[in-house]
Amino acid sequence: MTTRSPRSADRFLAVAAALAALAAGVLAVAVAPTDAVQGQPQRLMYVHVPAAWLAYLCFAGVLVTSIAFLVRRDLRWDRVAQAAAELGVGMTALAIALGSVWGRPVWGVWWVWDPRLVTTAVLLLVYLGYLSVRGLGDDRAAGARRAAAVGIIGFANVPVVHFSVVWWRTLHQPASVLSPDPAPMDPRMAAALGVAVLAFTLAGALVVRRRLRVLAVADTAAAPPAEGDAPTGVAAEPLVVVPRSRS
Amino acid sequence: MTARADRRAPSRRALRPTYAVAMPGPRAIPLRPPSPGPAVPGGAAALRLSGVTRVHGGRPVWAPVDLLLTPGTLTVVTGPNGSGKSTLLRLAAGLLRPAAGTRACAGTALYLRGGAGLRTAQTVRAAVTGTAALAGRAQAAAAAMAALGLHPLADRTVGTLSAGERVRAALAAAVACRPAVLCLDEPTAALDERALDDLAAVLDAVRADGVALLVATHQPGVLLPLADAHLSIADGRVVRR
Amino acid sequence: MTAPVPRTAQVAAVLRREAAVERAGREALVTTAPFVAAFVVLAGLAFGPAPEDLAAAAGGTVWLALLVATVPLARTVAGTEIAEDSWDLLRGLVAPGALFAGKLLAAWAALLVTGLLAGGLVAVLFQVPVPPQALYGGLLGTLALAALTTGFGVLVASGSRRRGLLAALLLPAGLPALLAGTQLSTPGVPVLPWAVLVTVYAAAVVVAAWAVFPVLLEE
Repeated sequence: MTTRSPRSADRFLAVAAALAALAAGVLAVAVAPTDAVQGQPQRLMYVHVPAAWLAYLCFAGVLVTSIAFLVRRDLRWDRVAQAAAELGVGMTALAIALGSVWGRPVWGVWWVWDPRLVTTAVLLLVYLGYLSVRGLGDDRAAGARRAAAVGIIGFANVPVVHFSVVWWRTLHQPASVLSPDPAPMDPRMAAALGVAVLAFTLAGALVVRRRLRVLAVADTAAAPPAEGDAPTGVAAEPLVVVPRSRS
Repeated sequence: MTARADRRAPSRRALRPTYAVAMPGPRAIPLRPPSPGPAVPGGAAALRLSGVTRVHGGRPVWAPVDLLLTPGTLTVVTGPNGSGKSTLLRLAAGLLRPAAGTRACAGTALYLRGGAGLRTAQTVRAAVTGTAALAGRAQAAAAAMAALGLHPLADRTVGTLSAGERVRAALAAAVACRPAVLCLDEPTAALDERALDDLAAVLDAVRADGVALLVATHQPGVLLPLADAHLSIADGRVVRR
Repeated sequence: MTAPVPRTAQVAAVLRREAAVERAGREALVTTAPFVAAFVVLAGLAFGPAPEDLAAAAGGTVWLALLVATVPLARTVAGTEIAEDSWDLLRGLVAPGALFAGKLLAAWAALLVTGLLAGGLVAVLFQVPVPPQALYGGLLGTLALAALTTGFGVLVASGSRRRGLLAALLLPAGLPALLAGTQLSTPGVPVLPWAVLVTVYAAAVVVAAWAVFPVLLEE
């Protein structure tokens, strides 16, 4: 009874994500107009922005589930945090790589010290550290606690990191002219972007769900139900130590 | 809590030097402490573990344990390597969170591994006083050092002490803090016979001062005659012997 | 659980103990002072010798040295205590909040001394003036770094492996201190935004580290 509904939910997610991805692909390649300034490379936006969106969503999820784990001490929350962090790190790396590929023809450089880029790169480093902390000790629960702490400290830091880099740029020189999304956006572009974000979000939910099942199995395997010769039950007798009468 | 109030009354006194172990020098002769006050079976508990266990590698280390230690008792814990003696002591000291069950302690609980616990760069005096100050009892440090015969070593660096001396220095620091429960993990390791006898005398005196002692050891011989209880961990069960 | 020792008295006792241990072993000083001195001299060689280049790199050199020095310093928070088996006694005697405050203040003091050394060396060797706002940045920036050092120092020390993770955790998290500190040490940069930023950052990091510290102590 417990196997059927998750599987059908997965199937639904997979179909929905595939349809959304197909629609996004058509919208992005065939319907949305070519950017007047940046040309074809601008179409990378339809992947780059959803990847960044999904990454931020994942990291926010890590924060929420980290707090939930520390409050409830239930490893289920920790597994969600781990799955979200893994996806988030992957999406952050993808967003940075695509941003770099996009920036090269448009800006002429692979990297600029734009606040969004720097913040995203710092996020990648923070959550790589987060994932590494999980393997620190041999104790599963201790790893989860440490990771939750890093998840909280790391995310608390994000707004300050972002503002500091924004000011680092703007207080020295005029606001960035290299801003990659000129406004206002063509409605067809906005539609393609919106559907792509939806497709990424659905696919991300699917990936997290499937990863959660793998992690749950690993946790169950690591903690077999006590049985057989395993010491269980209650102590035979309470052990009460009082001063022994001495001669 | 009333348990604390009951226990605290005599604790205001500094460690009585009446049972001082004269160290070093000729063979230390412990003076018998006065009788350990009114026995309180079923009365104030220094430590109460109710159905506690700890999970390691997905399995409970031992079956849930109900353990009640009253003040002024010495409990010896034996068992083979890996049986969970350290886990029991660290859990009793509040350093480990039980996977199941509850722990209640009427005051401070301390855990010492072997003779460690003090910073090796400090002198014995500075380390013992600094540790006692953490419990707000810096004034008790001198008496504790005297009780453990540490004055001749007071200006030595902790790192230069012998194994036996280190155990005494760490014990002095712990005793000065006036804990309700003191968990000693293998204090007998690396001690020669004479140092073992001295340790037994010291522990007897510490117990007489109202501390509940929980001592894990592979060499229980010298402690068992003094012990109020002998717990043994085998096959995942903590049993009384 | 601990005896009714007032919290401030316990913080003071932890701080006094830290000072006594440092006086006896000089671990923090030996860990950071030679490192920072070498860093500043090498930075001068890397960025100089033109005076204008050195002046431009001066603030950044001080804060990069400070930020990187937190990595070896973090070991003194809990790593050495665990190596010498004194951590359990400390945890048994001191309430988590007081332990955090004591260790934080000790790390802050160590970083302030390190910052004074790095700043002084840079001011002399790079021949740059020290704007007054640099002192505010130094005070708050090192407080934030001390909070990170305390939190991550305990986090990594209690794990048996991957001590090298400290750098991966500490350095990105210290970015705002590096930026704000550098900007506040640079003459001609607007002071107020950076002063606000370093204040908010220090408050956020101290609160976050304080909030998770008891969890890090758990075993």
